[in-house]
Amino acid sequence: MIKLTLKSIWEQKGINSSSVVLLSLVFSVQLLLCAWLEGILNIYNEDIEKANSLRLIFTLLILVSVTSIITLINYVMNKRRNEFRTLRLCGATPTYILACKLLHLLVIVIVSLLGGSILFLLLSKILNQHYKFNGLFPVYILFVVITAAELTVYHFMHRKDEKWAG
Amino acid sequence: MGGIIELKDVTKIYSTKDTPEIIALNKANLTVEEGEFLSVCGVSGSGKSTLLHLIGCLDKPTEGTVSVKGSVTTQMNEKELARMRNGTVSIVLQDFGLIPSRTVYDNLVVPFYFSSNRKGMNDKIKSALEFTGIADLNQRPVIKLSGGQKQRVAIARAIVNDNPILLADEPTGQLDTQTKKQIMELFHKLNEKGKTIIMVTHDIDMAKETSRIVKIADGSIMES
Repeated sequence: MIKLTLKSIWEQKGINSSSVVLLSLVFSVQLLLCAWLEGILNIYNEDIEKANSLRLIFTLLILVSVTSIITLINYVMNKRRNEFRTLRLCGATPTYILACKLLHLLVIVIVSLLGGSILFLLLSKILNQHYKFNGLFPVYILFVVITAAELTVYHFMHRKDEKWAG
Repeated sequence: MGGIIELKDVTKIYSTKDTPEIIALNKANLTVEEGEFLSVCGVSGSGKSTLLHLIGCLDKPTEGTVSVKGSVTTQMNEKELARMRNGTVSIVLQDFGLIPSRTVYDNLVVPFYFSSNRKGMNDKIKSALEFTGIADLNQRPVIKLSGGQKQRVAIARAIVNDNPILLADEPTGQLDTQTKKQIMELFHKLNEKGKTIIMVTHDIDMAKETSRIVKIADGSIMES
């Protein structure tokens, strides 16, 4: 029963490849932008005024990119809305549907982050000839933490809209 | 309680923090006998779908009791309600409620995921497909089917577990006249086989084909 249930979750919630490619591209481009700005910040480190204004742009960019990712993930999840409803009609409990949703979301985010990171590494190797990336790790962590936090808030804010799917 | 479905003084109120209360059903009473083919008519927002959701174990009333095949669903927890949806009540929707990217066969397998009785699953699927006349579409993705074919798949999925009660929410709403007739023929055949059918519809001609018409307005059942 457990095996069949997990199999069904995986089969019913199998991720859409085009959505993952799209998300991977968005992630990688955003990571590149973050790294590029971080590089600029280091270059202008001595000019405090310029560095501060760049920090502001940097923060805004992160906020915009997080919003765009949330919109994309929401779009992907909405595409699956019909399926969640079908499962409910056929006898799935709200807990099962929530597990499906979380698993689906988790797979999308992890696969996209991995895909984005690989793309980023490949692209950064090529671009490294022109730009020097420094202090990338904290930027990456910040990016992931903000995304995760916003996704959590977003999920709970929109729970009441998902009456159908439990 | 006599009928296969009994509603006693059922009230359903929808309320959120931001919007005023909406009384979708107001002290509604209804008894449906086993083997009956009943249609529920009313304008949009009259409470038809709410009634179907309550009978279909998708929702619980604010007040009153709903009894389906001798079980009072009002007292059930989510797990028990889910079991009712899987083994007692099937629902056919206007927008079909199918998984578009999957094949017809995959869609018919879904009820078995949640059923403890998977014996003879393939035979049951084959028989449901033959009954609805779509056996040749078995491996076709739902997205590539016409509206009428999709509704046949939805009906096949609804009968694959041999549930005694079939609920249909505007099942012919998106279909042309010819296909409507074919779908209604399927419902009549199912009713002859002993299924209890409740069909929500705007279409009075379709309603006249059923054995009893119930009118609903402003959350109240006007006549039955």
